[in-house]
Amino acid sequence: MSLTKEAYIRYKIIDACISNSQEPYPTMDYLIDACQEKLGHEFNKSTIQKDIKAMKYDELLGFNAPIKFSKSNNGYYYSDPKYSINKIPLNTTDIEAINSALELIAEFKGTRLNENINHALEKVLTEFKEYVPKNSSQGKIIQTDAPPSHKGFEHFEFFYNATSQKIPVCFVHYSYSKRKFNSVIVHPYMLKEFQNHWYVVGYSENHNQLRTFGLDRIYEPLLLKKDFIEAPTAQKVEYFKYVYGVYPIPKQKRQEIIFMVKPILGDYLLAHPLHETQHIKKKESNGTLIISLDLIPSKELINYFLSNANLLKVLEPKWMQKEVTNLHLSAARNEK
Amino acid sequence: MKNNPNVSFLYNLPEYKSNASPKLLRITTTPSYTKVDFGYQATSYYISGGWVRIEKNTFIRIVKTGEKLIVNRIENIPIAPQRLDFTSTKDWLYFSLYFPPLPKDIEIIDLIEAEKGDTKDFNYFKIELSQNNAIELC
Repeated sequence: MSLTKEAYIRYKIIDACISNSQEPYPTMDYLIDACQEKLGHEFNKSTIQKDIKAMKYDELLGFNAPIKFSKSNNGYYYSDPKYSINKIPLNTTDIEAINSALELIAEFKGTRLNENINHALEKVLTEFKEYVPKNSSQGKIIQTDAPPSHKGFEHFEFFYNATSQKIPVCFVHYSYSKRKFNSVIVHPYMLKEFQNHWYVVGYSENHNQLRTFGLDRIYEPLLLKKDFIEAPTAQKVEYFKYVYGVYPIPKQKRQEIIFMVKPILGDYLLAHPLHETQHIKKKESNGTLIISLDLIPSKELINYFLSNANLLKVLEPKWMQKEVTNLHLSAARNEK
Repeated sequence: MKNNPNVSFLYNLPEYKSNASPKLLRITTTPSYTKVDFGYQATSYYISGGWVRIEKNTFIRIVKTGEKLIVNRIENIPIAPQRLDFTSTKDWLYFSLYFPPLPKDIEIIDLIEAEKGDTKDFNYFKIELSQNNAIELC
C-alpha cells in the first residue's frame, strides 16, 4: 500500500472520529489509537498532527476540513457539524469501473498527467472505501498495444495544457514527407491518437488552415501570449469527425466512398467498422459486401485500401480508384 | 513591449531566406540569453549526406553598431574540428546556438560563423527582429 493511500485512509478514520456524535471531541491519543487499530501499526503524534493540518489546508486534497480544537473539551471537532470528507457516493460497480480506468491510464507511462489522475482517483476511491484491491493477485489483466515509449510523447502534457487552456504555441516541425524543417505557430484544438501515434490538430498560421502535426516530429514547443484563433465549429466538426486517420487529403471535401470487400474482410468490418459513417449498401449471395463511407478522404484511408488490396476493390470515387491502382503499380515496380 | 527587459520574445522566421544550408527557423530573446534554432537537411550532393559542425566563435553582429555577441552554448551540433557525419542523404538535424542577451531596440542582426566564408559556412545576413515580428512568450 502506498504511503499516499494510507494517508487517505487515516484522513477517513480521523474524519469518522471527529464526526462521531456518540463520542464527540476525540483527543489526539484517541485519534492515534483509532488509526493504529484500523491500520495495524503504530503512529506517532506528529503524523496525526500533519494529517489534521493537511485535511485543513492542503490544496491538492481540497478537503478544507473545518477542524478546531476545543480547550474546554480537550478534543477536536468540526466547526460545521454537518461537515464530512465522506460525501461522494460510489457503489462497487463505480469502483470497479474506476479501477479499470486507472489500469488503462497506467498504460500512459511517463507523464505527470498520469500521476495527477491517479492521485485524484485514489482520493475519490478512498473517501468511499478504505482499501481498494488492485488485482495484485491476478497481475495485469488489461494490455493495450501501445509501445512502451515513443518519440514526441514527452510533449503530450504540454499540448494537453495548451489545448485545454486555448494558448497558441510555436514549435519546430520536421516533415517526413517533404524532408523540410519549419517553425510554425499553431492554435491547438485537439490531441488525436491514431494507431498508437499522437497528433495535435489546430489552426496553423503558417498554412492558414487546419493542420495535423505528429508529436514525434515536433521540437521545443513554446507557449505564446497572443490571441487564440478559433476555427468555425462546422469546420472543426468536419475535420475531427469525418476523417479516418489524421491526414485529410488537401482540397478534398467530404464525399461518399464505395468499396467492395470479400467475405473474410467483410466480417471484420462488420465487427469493427472503419468509421461511424460506414454503411452496408449491399450484400451479394457469395458474401461479398458493398460498403460506403461518408468521409473526407485521407492518406490513412488510402493506406488501408492498399494494405487490403487482395480483399477489396475501390468503386467510387473514380479518382480514388485510380490513385489506389497507380500506387499498386508503383509498388509492383518498386519505384522510389 | 519589446523594450521591457524582463519579457521574452519569439521571432518566428518562416520567410527568412539565406544561401546557408541550415534553415534559420526562429530566434528567442530572453533577459538572460538569445537562442537561435536551426534545421539542417542532409544534402544529396554527398553520397552519404555529408557532415556538419559549427565554429566555436560563431557570433551575432548587431548591424547598427557592429557589436559582436559570441556564442556561449551550443546544443546538438559538434564544435569544430569535431563533426557529425550523416549516414544518408535523408538524415536531418535540429540544433540551437545560445548567445548573450541582445541589447534593447535591436532591429537587424547578422549571424556569422566565418567572416570571410563561403556558402558552405553558416552565415546569415540582415535578420529582422522588428517590433512587428515579436511575439511575447508565456
